[in-house]
Amino acid sequence: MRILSIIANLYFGNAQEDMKKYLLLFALSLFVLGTTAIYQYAKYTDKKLHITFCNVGQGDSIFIRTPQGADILIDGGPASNVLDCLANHMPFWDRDIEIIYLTHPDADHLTGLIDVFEKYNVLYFGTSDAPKDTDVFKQLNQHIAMESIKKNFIYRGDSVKLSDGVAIKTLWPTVEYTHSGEEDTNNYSLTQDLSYGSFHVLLTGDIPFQILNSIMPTLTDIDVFKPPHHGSKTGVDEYTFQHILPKAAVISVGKKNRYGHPNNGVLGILQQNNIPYYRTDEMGDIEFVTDGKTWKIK
Amino acid sequence: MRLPFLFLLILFSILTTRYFFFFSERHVYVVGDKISMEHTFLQEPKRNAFGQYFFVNDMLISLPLGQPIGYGEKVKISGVVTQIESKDKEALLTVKNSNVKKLPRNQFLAITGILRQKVISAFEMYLPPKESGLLLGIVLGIKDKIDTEYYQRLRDVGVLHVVAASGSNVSLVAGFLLGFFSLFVKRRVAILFTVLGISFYSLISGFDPPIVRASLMAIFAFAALAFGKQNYSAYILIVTAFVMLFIKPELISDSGFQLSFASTVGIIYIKPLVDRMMHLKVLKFVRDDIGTTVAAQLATIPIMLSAFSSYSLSSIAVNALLLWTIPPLMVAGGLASITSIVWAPLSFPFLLLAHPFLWYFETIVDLSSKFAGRLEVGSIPVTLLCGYYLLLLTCILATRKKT
Repeated sequence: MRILSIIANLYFGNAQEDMKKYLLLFALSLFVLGTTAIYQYAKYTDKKLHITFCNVGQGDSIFIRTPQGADILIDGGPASNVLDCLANHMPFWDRDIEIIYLTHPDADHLTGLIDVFEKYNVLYFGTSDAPKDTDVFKQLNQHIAMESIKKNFIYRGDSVKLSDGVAIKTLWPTVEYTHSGEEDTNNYSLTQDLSYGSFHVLLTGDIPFQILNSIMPTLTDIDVFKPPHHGSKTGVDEYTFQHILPKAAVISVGKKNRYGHPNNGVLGILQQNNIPYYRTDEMGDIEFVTDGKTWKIK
Repeated sequence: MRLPFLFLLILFSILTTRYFFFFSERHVYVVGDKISMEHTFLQEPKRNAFGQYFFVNDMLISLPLGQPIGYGEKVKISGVVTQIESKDKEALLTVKNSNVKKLPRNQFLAITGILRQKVISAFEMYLPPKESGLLLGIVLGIKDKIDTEYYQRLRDVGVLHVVAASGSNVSLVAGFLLGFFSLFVKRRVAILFTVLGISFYSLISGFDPPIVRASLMAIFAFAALAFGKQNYSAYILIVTAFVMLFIKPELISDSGFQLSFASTVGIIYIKPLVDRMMHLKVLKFVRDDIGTTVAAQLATIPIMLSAFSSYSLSSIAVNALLLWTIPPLMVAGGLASITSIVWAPLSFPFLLLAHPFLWYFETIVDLSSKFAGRLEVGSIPVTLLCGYYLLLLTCILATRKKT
């Protein structure tokens, strides 16, 4: 009889008591939800620009939340862990990403975007016109086509200015270069100057220093610089900082990666130029917050 | 006493015959074999940056990313069997240059697949990725939406059984359906509808062994109830195991199947003993959960150690902290699933209600994974396993005689 009572209890329980318990638990849930919503609303509508270099391992992913709450993602990293970064830096009710840029179609910048497209409503997609024919890139394009997302190739001179004052100006590649027949996709990396007030961030994908150095003279003051290609020696050289001296650098790199990134020579150049640098493999997600005049790292 | 003994003897004889034919007819694949076999997907293939992969007859089959495969799809796989080394340096059979060709899909599975996809889309639309994956696992046993790292973390802290839509989850669904149908129709008809409902739930979950076990148990329990034979409930577990093994003999070596049955035996036979020994007046709220966890773990520890070579030392505490969230999550998630099939936005309020419980669940898992100790063991001798279970059986019988 004991067995019968256990099974009966398992399958039927005490409905009235259960109902009371559930009502109490759901009332508690509503309270927690309300409190969290108020807290997150206050946190994410602070009229400041938030730029987060996501810790996605050996790859790049940069999430930007503008003062008026627009969400921009530059690259998606090598795996689905970009979703953790988004969940940690967006309010829980927000399922829209206004703009996604893919700097170039290499797997360590692109793979995580497939999960992002599956789980968020993406309104616009921009990328460089680089030659690539991998399965993962095809799958991304299938998603974009299936969901009828507006897609554009981006070239030097293209810029986006949002109503809250955040602007993204593309510095590379030029239209001519995309027709050059160059096969190395790194060379096509979107290189962009993100600005808000007097605050500037230079985002570089995996661009080689030969191209980066040719862009530098056209730039104004840069506050935060992302050394290209996860701090590889192909990204910067001793001439890179002749024209600009960023106030900080962020290296997006995986712990104990097999490529030996970041390169010791690159770290040496940053040190020689007194540029403090921060690494995602050591600090996790690195968030910059600015009101357009001053900025701080969270 | 004679009749039950005869009944068990008949079941045992039928099963032995079944195994005799199963093992004598089973084809063991070796390197160089040319294969051509069909496979129906009741779980989507796993995906990484390089492609998709799934297992058929313990063989790894790879697919390019550009060939999407969904629930219920049927494929024909052909190629030559070859051997590779897995990440753990173990030999693994795979099909070299496999040709995977899609076949016409079963109409019933196609409809089920559409319904399942509607639920998944709604959960993913209104919940952040980690939370939606967790809730899909808890409510429907869909595990492939939980990212690999988090899945490992759930295993490390000993709560993976929760995201397998386990037995207690099925019992919650059964209880809800019976209560609902009883409002409109006579009890016997309500039981019939409930049985159909549970079968459908089992199908949507992808026929995961723990869910099938729990569903069959629920169905047999209802059948006994409908025909006024409640006293036969003790045999339900045995008949369930018989039916499952008869249909799919290879389940005998499936750790999910073994864990599911051993934990149920533990809950039925060991939990009353554990409850009697526990006097946790302070922890009244979680006392029942602790009792259930201890009983289930006593019955499953050797299987866990054999299957995973490790045991989470904090799992009893973590289970006690988490199990109370499962009923409200099942209720909110279940209502969200039903409403999402009608119209996705209707599921939004229920998913919002589930959200704080999911945060809590995640926080506890994250915190405990930082502090969780693990007992790592090598292979366990079969004699030790048998000795443990004999000792456990002796304890149960001795205590039952006393009472």
